[in-house]
Formats: sequence, structure tokens, C-alpha cells
Amino acid sequence: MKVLVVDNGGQWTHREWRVLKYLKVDTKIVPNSTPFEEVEEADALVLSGGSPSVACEAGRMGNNGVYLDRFPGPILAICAGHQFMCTHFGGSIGPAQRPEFGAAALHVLEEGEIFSGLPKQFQVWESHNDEVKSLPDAFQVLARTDDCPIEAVRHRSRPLFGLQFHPEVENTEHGYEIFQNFLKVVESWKR
Amino acid sequence: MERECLAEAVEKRRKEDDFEQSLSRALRRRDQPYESYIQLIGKVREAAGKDRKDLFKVAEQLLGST
Repeated sequence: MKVLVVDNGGQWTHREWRVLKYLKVDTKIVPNSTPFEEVEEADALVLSGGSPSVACEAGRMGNNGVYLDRFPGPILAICAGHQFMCTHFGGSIGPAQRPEFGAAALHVLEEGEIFSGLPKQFQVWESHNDEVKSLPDAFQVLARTDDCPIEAVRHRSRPLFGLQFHPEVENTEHGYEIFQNFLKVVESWKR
Repeated sequence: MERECLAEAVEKRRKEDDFEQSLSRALRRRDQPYESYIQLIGKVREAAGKDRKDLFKVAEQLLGST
């Protein structure tokens, strides 16, 4: 199983790669400027978090839009990647009512595939000033926190998942299980 | 088609499978898209209700009731 981590400039991109390595996945980090032809052979993509403010620096998200449009396999988008994905498909983002930095209590509204087997509430690690304000019709909300109503999403008909929080950070409880659940989707639906 | 997939997911379950994996395999064998999986797993989960019953048992119940 080959999963590429698309680097959007986040401070924890390397940790995303490391979790996948720990889970024995063939993985590497690629710049978000990588041509689609060089990522399309992967079984799945992880769109990393990033430093750009997606609301006003979408240009720094490179080819994420191309990947989302053309990549046929599962995609897990984290933080800035999640925000970009939601806006790319027609949603909107803006300044968070209450920016989250540090630990937050995640409330799982629907398991989807990502939260399969996990508690209904657990601690996650956050680092964001902006948040998804409106969701595209093609997506549904899977989880929220007390300060952010759209913490996790999935596409209704494609294996696309978005997380506002950071599952790759140690302070996120069940972070490895979230990645494992994503890899189960990859294993089930890879070409 | 749905009934066939549910039946196969239950009957051809592998030891290490959770229900989602088993159902995915049944659908993929029939060249069904991920969208079909989402629809069918949604029905099973809805039948399972909020107390998160064993999805294999829920699928068996759905097969028995149709």
C-alpha cells in the first residue's frame, strides 16, 4: 500500500509521514507542487496541514485542487488540507469564532469510517485560526468540538475525509486508530 | 444486489475483518463503486441504532427480515 503525504507546509507534516511509516505503509512526503501524473499511482493521499491561511493564500496550496479533482483513491485532508478541500468543493472558510490551540474535546456525531470503533468523545490537538464555515452539499459532518462545529467531514460518495484537528500529534487520543481506520478504507478501495 | 452483498459480507467474513472491510470486499468483487458502499453501510448503521450493535449481527437480521 502506497500513501503519499502532500506537504502543504505544516509544522507536523513529518509526523504524518512517521505515523504511516509506523503503520508499515510505503510512504513519502511530496511537495504540493508535484504534478498529478507523479501522484496518481499512489493508493491514497494525505493532504497535510499547512501554514497558509487558505482563505487568502489558496495559491500556496499548489496542486491540491488537481489531486482532489482527479485522484481516484481515498484522500485524508488535515487542517489546512481539510479547509482547502471544503472550499474547493464549494464550501467556505473564515476566521474561527474561537481559534483553537491545544487540547480540545472532540464529539463524534457519526462514526463514518474514520472514527469506527472509537469513543464518542475524546481529546484532540488543535492549531487553527480559521475554520470551515459552510460545508459543500457533497460532504457531511462527522464531528465537532465545543468551539468548532465542523471538525471532521466525509464526502457522501467518494472516499474523501477531512479533519480540522491533528491526528498525527501525540496529544490526540486515538490518533493512530484514526490513521488505521483510514488505511482500512485504502485497503478496501484501492485499485 | 444489496442483499447479495450483505449475505456475502456475513458469510465470507475473514477472521480479522470488521464489517466495513467485509462489506467493501463484497461490493468490490461486484465492481460496485464506493458510493454504493456508503449507501449500504449507512442502512446497516441506521439499523444498528445508537447503541452500536455488532454490524454483522445487524446485517444478519436485515437479511432475515427481507
